[in-house]
Order: sequence, then C-alpha cells, then structure tokens
Amino acid sequence: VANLKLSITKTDDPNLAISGDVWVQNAPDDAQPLVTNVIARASAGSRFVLDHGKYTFRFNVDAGTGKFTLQVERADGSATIATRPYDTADAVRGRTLRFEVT
Amino acid sequence: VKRLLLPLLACARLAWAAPSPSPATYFGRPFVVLPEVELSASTDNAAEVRIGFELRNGLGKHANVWDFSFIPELSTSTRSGISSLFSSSSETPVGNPWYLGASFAFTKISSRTSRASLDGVYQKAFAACAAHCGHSPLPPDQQSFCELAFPGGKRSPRPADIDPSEYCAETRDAIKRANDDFRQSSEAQAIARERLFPVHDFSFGARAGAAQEHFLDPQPPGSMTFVERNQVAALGSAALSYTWVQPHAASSQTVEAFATYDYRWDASETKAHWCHPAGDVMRPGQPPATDPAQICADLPLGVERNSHVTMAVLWGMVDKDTPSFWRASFGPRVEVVANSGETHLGLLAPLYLNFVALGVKEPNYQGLIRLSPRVGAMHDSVHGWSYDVSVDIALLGRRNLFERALDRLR
Repeated sequence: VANLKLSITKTDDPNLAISGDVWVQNAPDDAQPLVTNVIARASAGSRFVLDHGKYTFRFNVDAGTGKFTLQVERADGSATIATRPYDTADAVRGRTLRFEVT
Repeated sequence: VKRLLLPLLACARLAWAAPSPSPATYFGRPFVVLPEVELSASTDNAAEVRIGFELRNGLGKHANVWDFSFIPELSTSTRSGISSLFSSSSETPVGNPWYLGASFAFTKISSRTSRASLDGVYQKAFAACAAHCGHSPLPPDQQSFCELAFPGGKRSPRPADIDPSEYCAETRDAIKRANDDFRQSSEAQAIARERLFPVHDFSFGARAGAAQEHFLDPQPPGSMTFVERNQVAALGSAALSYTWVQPHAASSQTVEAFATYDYRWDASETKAHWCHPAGDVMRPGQPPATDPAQICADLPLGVERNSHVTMAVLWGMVDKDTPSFWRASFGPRVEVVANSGETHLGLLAPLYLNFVALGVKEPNYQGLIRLSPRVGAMHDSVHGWSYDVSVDIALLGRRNLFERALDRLR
C-alpha cells in the first residue's frame, strides 16, 4: 500500500483547477473508480492511498488555462511515480495521467 | 366569454410574468414548465385560441441528448370569424367546438457543446485513429497511439484511459474545437440554447372535442319538410410532425414535414331561409295602419361532418442569434376533404417574428407573431377549380420558434 500525493507542479495560472477520479487501468465498463473527487489546484493537491498496480487518473480542467504539469509522487516525497506536461489548449475534458504503483 | 377569457388571461399573465423554467433538475438537466398560448385568425374566417403547458425533461438515460415534452392543451375554434370566438354561443347558429388534447415530442438537441457530444467526439477520434493501427509502417503520431490502444496487438485501454493529446494528429483539431466549444459556455447554458434550435423534433398529438350542431334536417328523410335539430357532435384530430434544424450554423436551414387528420363539422354552404308571421307593426303617421311582420331565420341544410387530411413539406431558414428574431419557410401543402371530395393544392409560407424574448440567462420563452400566407387552388365537383388564397396571423407564446404536432391543425 502506498500513500500518494497528486499535485500541479508547474503552471502560470494561479486559478488553474482540476478534478477527477482514479481508475484501475483497462477497467471494464461497469467498474467504479477507486478514488473519487481528487482535486488539485495551483496551490494545493490531494492525497490518497493505493495498492500496487496500474492506474489512470482521469480528470477535467475546471478552471484556468495554459500549460501545466501534473505529478503523482509518494506522500513522503521519496519518489516520483509519474509526471507529465499538459496544455489546456489541447483539451480540457477527458484528460488522463497513467501511473503505476510498484 | 368568461369561460374563454379567464384561463386565457391567467395563462397570458403567467407567460409574461413568470416564464423562467422551474429550478428542479434531473440528470443535471433543467426540468421545464412553460405556458403555451396561441390566438390566431385567418382571412378565411377561421380563428382559434389555444392554451397549454409544456412539461419538458431529459429522456431517461439519454437525457444529455434527447428531451421529451408533454403538452396538454385546451382549445376552441371557429369558422365564423375571430369575433365569434368571444361572442355568446346563443347568437350563432353553431356553437364553437371545444377540444382537449395533448402533443408529445421527442427532441434531439444539438449537443455539440454538451458533455455527451464531447464524449462522442472522443469516441469518433479513437475509432479514426484505431482504423490505422493494423497498417504498417505507421507514421510516428500513429505509432504511439496504437501502442497505447493495442498493447501487444490487443485492444487494451478504454478510450477514456488515453489522453486526447495522445490521439493521432488528424483528430486533434476536432478535439480542440469540441473542447473550445465546451469551454465557451456552461453545459446548462448550452443545453438551454440548443433547446431553442432542436436538431430533430418528432412530435405527435391528438385531441378530442365536442360541438353544438344546429341545422335543418329533412323529416322524414328525403322529404322537403325540415325540422330544426340541436345536437352535440364528437370531433377529433390527430397530427404528426417532424422538424430538422441544421446544427452549427449562424443561419440554419430547416426542413419540416407534417400530416394532420381533422374530423370536424363544417357548416353547409347551402342554407334555408324561412319566415313566419309575427303579428303586425304599426305604421308611423296618419291615418293609423299596420303592416304584417315576419320573423326570419337561416340555418344550414343538413350536417356536413368532414375528414380533412393535410400534408405539407416546408423548407426554410432560421436566425440562430440569441435571441432568435425570425424564422421563415415555404413549401407545398395538400389538403383533401374526404367526404366532399374537395382538394386544396398550394404553397404555405409561414414567417415567424420574435418580438419578446424572455429568460433569466437564456431567452427560453418567446413572444411570436406568425404570418402564414397560403396560395393555391381548390377543386370540388360543383365549382371545379378556383383560387384558394388566405393569410393566417397569430400571436404565440412558447419556448422557441418551432411547432409541434397539434400546432399544425389550422
């Protein structure tokens, strides 16, 4: 079991806000998300606990524009699990961050 | 008069004072209750008053894309001029028919900016990109997508697991456009707007009513001796209607098609005029004298219950500004009167002008003037062909500039 933290690490827009859920990768159609209401802003992130496995954080950009970077790391800061740049110009809905907890 | 005016005034007051949808929600969609009113008059002496309520909601699991409407209504009409709608029935030989009816409508909104539409864009983009995945060699932008979509040659992640930026290049513009549209307005506002311009609207309705018939009937049948008859006749109508509005354009094309069936009593054109003695009337002046007086009356000879079948297909344009100020259409119209063999062929060209648009965030209630000229020819076995020209003018209060099934009965 891993304590994880999801946060926005780079953004020029202080109003940027995202929200979404964490799903098991390749989940069947009738599956439910493992973690819901995961919210991150420029100034604050979310913490949650997951077992080992492959996951997808599916999220929407609720406010703000521009480029930003999303990161999942261990809550104690010991390791970065996944990080990825995004641009709201590409899309605001249906964004994803895939990551694996080992 | 009171029976007619009180509900009409009450409804009109509701229409102008409180047109906003009620705030109840269902699947995130606003539930709408709107009053509908119509007062119309035609140069051929037909006139009608209708009052009703539109109850509108999303359609179950498909609520993001489809609306369902139920519109109960009460109406009365006349073929004797608009003034007879507001006059006492005792002054006219025939009472105006009263109808109770309802329209049902299934409406597909143009949900380009809705969440469902955005999901649809992603699904289509996924399918377009995935179609290339079996080929080789793959372009670089396809390669990364195919590795994600078909790891080890087997389709694995659902489209929701792939970020839109990872889709192949040919789909990225469509994805960006769909997202831009989505951001421009909230979903609720977008749906409210799209309800003004439904892409597909299927509607059907029926009404039943009764009318007082007052006529002369030969007694015994076939003789030339007549007696006055007063009876209540049951009447009925049914209608089907379809409307298409071109989505995603500033001024959009529209196509409408409808068919109506109207079983009604038409006053016979042949009338009997008769008089009977009513004493004497004093003649003014000297010497005193009297003249014989008579009381005279006219009544239709016999009763004509006719089945009118009408069909029309109209092409037109609608202004898609918010609020929308006009809509115009024209097309052929055919009406056959089954019992008399009368046939009307012509062109119908309704024009709708929006003079009041009300709403809190979106103009979701319109006050309209409808001018509907009809030009054509009429044929019957007695007179042969003749011109058939009329103009119908109506004041309407309703959700948008489009009509449902029972609106077509005129």
